[in-house]
Amino acid sequence: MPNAVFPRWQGGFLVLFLLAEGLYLPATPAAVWSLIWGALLAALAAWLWLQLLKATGARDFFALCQNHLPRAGQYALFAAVGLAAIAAILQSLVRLSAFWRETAFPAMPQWVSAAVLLAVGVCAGRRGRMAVAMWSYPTAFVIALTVAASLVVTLSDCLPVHLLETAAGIAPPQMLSLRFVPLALPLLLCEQDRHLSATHACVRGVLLGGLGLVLLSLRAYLVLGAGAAALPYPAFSAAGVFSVGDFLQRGEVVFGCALALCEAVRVALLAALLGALCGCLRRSRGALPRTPQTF
Amino acid sequence: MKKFLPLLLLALLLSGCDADANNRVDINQDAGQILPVSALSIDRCAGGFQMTVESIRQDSLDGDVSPGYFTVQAADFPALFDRADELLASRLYLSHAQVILVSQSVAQNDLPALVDSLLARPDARLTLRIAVAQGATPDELLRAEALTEGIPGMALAALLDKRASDGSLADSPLFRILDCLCSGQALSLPVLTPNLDGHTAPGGSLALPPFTGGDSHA
Repeated sequence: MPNAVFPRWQGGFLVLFLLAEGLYLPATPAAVWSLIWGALLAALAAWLWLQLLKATGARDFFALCQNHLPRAGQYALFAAVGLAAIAAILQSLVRLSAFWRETAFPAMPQWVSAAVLLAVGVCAGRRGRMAVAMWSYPTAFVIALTVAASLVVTLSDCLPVHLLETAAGIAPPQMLSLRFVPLALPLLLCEQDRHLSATHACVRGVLLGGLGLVLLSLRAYLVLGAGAAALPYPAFSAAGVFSVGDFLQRGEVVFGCALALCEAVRVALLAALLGALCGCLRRSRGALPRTPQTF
Repeated sequence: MKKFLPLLLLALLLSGCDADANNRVDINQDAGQILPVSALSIDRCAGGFQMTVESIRQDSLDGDVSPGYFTVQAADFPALFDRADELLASRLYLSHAQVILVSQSVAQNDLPALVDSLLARPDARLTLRIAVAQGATPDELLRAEALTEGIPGMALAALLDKRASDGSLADSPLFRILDCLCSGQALSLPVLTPNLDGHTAPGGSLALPPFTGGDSHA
């Protein structure tokens, strides 16, 4: 199966796409609960989407459109998805370059760091979803290990009283986090066939990514408490309270680099989506031979 | 190979290596040099506030270091740091600072403003501890000779760390103080006093009532 994007790879890039939000999370009990509900709803949406693909016999989003939409409808839908992907790329560029300016590189012009991130993301994304997904899988392990280590070393700085506050501040399911909305874009890159269902791996990826976000937000609140609201990047700041004397300090730098890598993967995935959209449009105009539309 | 060039460029930028390595300090610090700071002391004075900076000087290539001290005065905390930068034609680097000694008056009246000014500096760590000087001015306690070898400010930080871990002094890193200020809770700060030999010793804890206007931090 040389052209298959294996399910675990897809789960890996969904984890990384979600963890790219990790640097910008608020840290309040309400935010933690909204992330919990958002992750559950996102997992449900991923499951429904892949079940839809399975029910219609389409290999992926592009096959689904080509088989069930008129050409004008395809153009309109692809244009909307493309604009959403561009907006999401811009969101990544703006927020990560602002983060770098606030923390590590205060004198670097924001456009320089944005250009670097864009160049890395586009260069990786031009290789297509197969390559991005393939590299996402081991990358997800490395980043998960980094984030887990960061969480563990700050356990001693967490205040149990804040955990009680978080548990007591349970919010109803309507308090959903909009941070999961862009997840719809990488879901369009997911594919499966009758021999290789991606449903379980993708749902697992969304749940693991959501769990990572919940833990990061929760850790920030347990460590910083109400003071998290006074800090621009509480999840990042909370990672920095661990130190051993004057030597082993600035652990938040490693943590920040790991999540910045997630942001680069996010841009790469969105660039790959844009490339896939363009390729599909070219094929639908007859410039290239059509690929199999169903499994 | 071309595919890895952007990643290489990103790695170089993240590690601080660009075309002119010396330029990075100029760009990031807006000055020719940075001055690593190990501790600060802040007290009130006639013109507002007085801050003594304990900096770290490397005396030899073997790594031997010694403390250096200088004092500035200004009307408020941001101006104190600006004045110190101007005095040095350089920039204070608080990343290694571990303790700030303040007078009881500053602790009771100006703690929120001090915390705000520290949060405005990206190089100030959230683990920076604030302690109260009693029986002597913060400047005198900061300059007192350490019982152990090394820099007095770092010895004070180690003392506060040890006493906070065994519970005999209040634990007062900046992020705990910020939590108390933002949530309107009372807080305690560790107290340091001179002992009979003139060395700095633990002196209990100072309880502070909740600060009004704590919402301004949120």
